[in-house]
Amino acid sequence: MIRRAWLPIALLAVWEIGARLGWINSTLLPPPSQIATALVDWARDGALVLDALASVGRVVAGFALAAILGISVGALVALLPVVRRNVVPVIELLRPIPPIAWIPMAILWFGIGTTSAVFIVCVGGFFPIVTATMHGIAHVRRETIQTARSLGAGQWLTVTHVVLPAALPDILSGVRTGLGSAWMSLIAAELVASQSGLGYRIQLSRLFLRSDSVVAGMLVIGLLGVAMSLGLRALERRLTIWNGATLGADAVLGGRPVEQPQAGR
Amino acid sequence: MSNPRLVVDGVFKTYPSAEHHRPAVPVLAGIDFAAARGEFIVVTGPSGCGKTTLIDVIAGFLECDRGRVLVDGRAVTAPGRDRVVVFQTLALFEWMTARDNVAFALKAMGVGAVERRRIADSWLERVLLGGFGDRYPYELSGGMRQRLALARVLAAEPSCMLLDEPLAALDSQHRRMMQDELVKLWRDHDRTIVMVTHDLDEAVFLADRVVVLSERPSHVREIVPIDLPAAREERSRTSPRFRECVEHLWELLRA
Repeated sequence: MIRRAWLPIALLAVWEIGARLGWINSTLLPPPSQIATALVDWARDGALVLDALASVGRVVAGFALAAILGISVGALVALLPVVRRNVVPVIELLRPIPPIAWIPMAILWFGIGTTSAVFIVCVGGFFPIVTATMHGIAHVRRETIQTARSLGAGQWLTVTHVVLPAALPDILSGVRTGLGSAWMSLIAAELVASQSGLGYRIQLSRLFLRSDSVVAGMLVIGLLGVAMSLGLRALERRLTIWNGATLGADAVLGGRPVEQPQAGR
Repeated sequence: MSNPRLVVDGVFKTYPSAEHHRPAVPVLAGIDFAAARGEFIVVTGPSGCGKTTLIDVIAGFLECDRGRVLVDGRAVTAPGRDRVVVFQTLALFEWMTARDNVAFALKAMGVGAVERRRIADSWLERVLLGGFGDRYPYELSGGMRQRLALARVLAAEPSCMLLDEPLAALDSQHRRMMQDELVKLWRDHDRTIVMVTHDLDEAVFLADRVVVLSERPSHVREIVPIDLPAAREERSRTSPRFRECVEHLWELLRA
């Protein structure tokens, strides 16, 4: 354990010692011990849990909305040429607008608070999901769909049991990207358009020049992001257990042998 | 042939050009043949001659410009369970267990879950995949995947099976094994089979008659009856008559 983590431990030690010896201005960059103290204080009065719950609640609500909208719109676009012709230009136009650029309009429409934050989260999560769904469905092999039709499946059965499951790995990787984007958008929204949550907390700490609390807040944001991403990854594994090829990336990173599907996909 | 199961009658197909300054591509220029109930027809021809297009038209994936395809006297207008296709890639449903793959056609028919399971398991038994019902396709070997694809088609009880080079991706050992299995399955279940292949040995080993197409735009150059005993065995591959048939097909393709 210590052997693998020596680099971060050494950096933390240098950082701590540097701050104590006065090489580092601890207002600009508080030492780890001070950050830890701020974190403990924050946790002790219960505010940490409340802030985290506020943020996670918003991200869950906004992200669920984004997933439902993104997958349905993406599927309709990919399956119906009429929808594709009319909707794709709109999506392409809106996609490059960063979610935080929607904040002023969100405040105008929904005021400062949870609704605005949920809206921003939804915008942040929607685009990666809709794009991945469109591409995932468009790349389902022609022969797979033809086989289903030739086995007597109607449109509905073909879409629900063949097209969507075949596109699921792509859709889920879009969902994972979307979650990252949604979480980042949420924190940005909370910085300016909220009275609670982790983003609001670090903004407040900045006003009091409590840089230790700011960094503690950033730390919690990072850890929660990792936790959600891991949770989603686990769900993804479960849902696409049939996709032997998903072991590929892990194998490259972890040095395990690559398992290939037998033929085709 | 008084009452053919499958009739391909004067089928023409031209692909419109992708870009307007390019000429359209005529692929099929009047294909005619018929297959009797339970007959094994092999279609072969030079590469790019439109064999796959022909399968697409028979399957109902593609509309022909002129001519028609009849199955049991009814004109083909859309894909259907009476003409199930097996592609070279097999196109197994990777997200379904082997059992659900086989049961798919039954589900499309509206057969209930318990009955589906029973029928699917019996087909899996018949292609020697009993006990593999809960496995996903990626867990199966190449030969097992081939048999699974066959079981999935057979469960649909099609009157015609359309095989588009289903064995082309296999190595020669597997290929011969699967050819034997195909012969057995075909003999046991009395299906009409139309199979596309490049492999002339395979054509002679499997076919009752071989439809030889010309290069594009293709027409039927000759329909060669294979007058070997219908019960093909491994040793028929080495008989002089077998070699003669292969040579004759080769002559036709080179002509």
